[in-house]
Amino acid sequence: MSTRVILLVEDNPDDELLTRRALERAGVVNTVDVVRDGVEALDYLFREGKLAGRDCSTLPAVVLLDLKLPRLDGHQVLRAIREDERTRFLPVVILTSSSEEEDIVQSYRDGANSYVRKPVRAEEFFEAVRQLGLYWLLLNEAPGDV
Amino acid sequence: MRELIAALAGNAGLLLAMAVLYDALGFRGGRQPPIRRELGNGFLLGTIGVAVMLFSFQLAPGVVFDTRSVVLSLGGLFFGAIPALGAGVITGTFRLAMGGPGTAMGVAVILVSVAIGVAWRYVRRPRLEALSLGELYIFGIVVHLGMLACTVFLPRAIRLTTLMTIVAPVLVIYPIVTALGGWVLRSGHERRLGDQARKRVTEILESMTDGFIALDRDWHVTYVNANGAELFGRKPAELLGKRIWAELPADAVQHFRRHYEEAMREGKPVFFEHYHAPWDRWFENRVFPSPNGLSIFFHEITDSKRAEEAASRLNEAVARQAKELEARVAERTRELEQRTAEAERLNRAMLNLLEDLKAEQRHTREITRRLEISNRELETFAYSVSHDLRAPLRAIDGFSEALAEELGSGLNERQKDSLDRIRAAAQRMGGMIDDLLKLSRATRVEMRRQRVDLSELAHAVLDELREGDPGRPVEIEVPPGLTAEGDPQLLRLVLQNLIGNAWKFTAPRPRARIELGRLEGGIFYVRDNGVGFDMKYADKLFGAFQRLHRQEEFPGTGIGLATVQRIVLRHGGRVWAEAEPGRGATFFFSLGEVGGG
Repeated sequence: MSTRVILLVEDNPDDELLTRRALERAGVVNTVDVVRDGVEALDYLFREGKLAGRDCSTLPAVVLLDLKLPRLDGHQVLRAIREDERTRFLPVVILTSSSEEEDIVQSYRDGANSYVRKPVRAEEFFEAVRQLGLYWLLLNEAPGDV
Repeated sequence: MRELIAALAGNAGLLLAMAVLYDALGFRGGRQPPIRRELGNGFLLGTIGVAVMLFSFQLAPGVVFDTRSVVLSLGGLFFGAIPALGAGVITGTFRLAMGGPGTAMGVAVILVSVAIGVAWRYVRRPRLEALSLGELYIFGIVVHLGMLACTVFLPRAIRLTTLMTIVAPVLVIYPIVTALGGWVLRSGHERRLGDQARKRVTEILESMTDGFIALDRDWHVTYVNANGAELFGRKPAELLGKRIWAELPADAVQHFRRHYEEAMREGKPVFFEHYHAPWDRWFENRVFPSPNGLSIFFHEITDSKRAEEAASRLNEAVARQAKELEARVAERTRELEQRTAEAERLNRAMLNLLEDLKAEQRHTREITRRLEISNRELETFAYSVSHDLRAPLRAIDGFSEALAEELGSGLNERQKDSLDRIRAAAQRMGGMIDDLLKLSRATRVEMRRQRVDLSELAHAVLDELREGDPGRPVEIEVPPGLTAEGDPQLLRLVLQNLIGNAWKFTAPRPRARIELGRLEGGIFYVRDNGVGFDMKYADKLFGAFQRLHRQEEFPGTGIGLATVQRIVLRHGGRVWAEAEPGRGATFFFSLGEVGGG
């Protein structure tokens, strides 16, 4: 199992906590770094702004990206990630409340690796996150790992 | 001397008697050619001359006096050169035959008398019928002065004594005799002319087609022509001398009398028309007064009268028709004017209406625009709120679950029930928000119309339902190839709701049955044999959050049919339902294209 971190871009602390718990229950022990909005997310990834001095040298194993975010929203963040050489192949999973057709289509067009709608029902939510963690942390071979 | 005068007077009397005889016998030659008539007259004149010479007075042997000068001069004057010369030749010859010393003078007197008579005729050119006694007397004096002048042809011995003897009686008696003889001839001539004129007039009166009657002042018929008499049914002779009133038709007397008396009284021509009923004929009468009475011309005008009547009838008919036509034209014109006025009024009304309509339209457009704006704002609001609402619900449910998990068996039944209820409520609210999102999307998303296979869609929806509720025996009837024009996503939503409802409300049925079909006119329907509903609540079916069943019986948010209605309306169609409690329900919908699909 990779020891690389998971980057969670989430402005809602409740959702953050629920996601952490879900990952825990699924047995995911990787560090989860959390940023609160799109700007922070990009600063984190590109070591810019107030996170310029971040010591970790590797990219996260996966980015769990909410769409509705303050400042830069999820779509803009995703486009920025895909436009940069360094992060072009970084796995990005959209984790959001929206089930709008447009959001789904837009996300895949912009290069999202997966799109998961956060269900209200706890069991469903935990199950979705568990599967995500399993897939992206245990099974998927990201280009950066080779 | 007395003897001479007596002889001369006797000769003159003879002459006058012969002249009267001549005139009375009327030797005028009748219709003989002019030259023969003139020669005949000359012969007669010569004979008369010879007659008077036979009874001449012998002044001396071979010296005779008679009235041959009178005969020959008057002959020249009244009958012209040829008769006078003819008579001159006869009498001259006779005188020569008598011989004697007076022969030369006798012949000379004959020549002079002829010459003066002829000269008077051709130089003076008198109107013979108008010669006066005075002129005839002067003529006589001239002739006999000429006669006295002829004494120069007598032998000198007797010349003067003879002249002295005859001068007085010749100049006294002969001019008088000439004047009297001339007067007789003049009268004869005058009468002859009158006869000719009368004859011509009679010819005219008889030849004309008009009837003609002359009346004297006592209303006696003095002349009637043949045509006139015929109209009375009589011969002219039978009418002459009769009083006209006795001859006229009894019923017409008054009519005629009025006009005739008027003409007589006023001395003016009177024209009138008369219709004789027994004959059915029209006559025109023209009555001319004269000093002697009346001249009346009349002729039949039945034909022209009939023509006139026909013409006037025709005229009347034409006039009547023209009048009718005029009236009709006037009426039409009036009608037309009324219609025009009406049309104008209507036009004005229409224009006003149009103006109102335009204003209304502008107003409506403005309202629609504002409505669209506020609608969009509302939808956007609903969208974002729905998303934001889901997060707290997720937190409620998630942490409740976490709490239950962590406390595990430490919870008593009551506490566990409370947590379950919290979670159920959160989840139901999540479902409602999801449905609200769908409803708002049904209005919000841009429509893409294309051909959609509803049969295929229905099967996909049914597969989903079977997956979520496996093991239910449901009889499905969906004929293949039911296609429609519309947005595939939205139509899927329609079928999800309608078939989903059918699935839900047939749950209590041991033999559930769901049917999708199409009627005439592009109307689709989804029919089930579920629990149905009472039609008196049908008006609540399509309102958001309106439910006809209790939550414990059939869970639901009450938004599905509202969504269906929105989608159908957006397609330009309509949706309605028929149901009966316990017998099932049928939902019909069209998609705005009659006969299509």
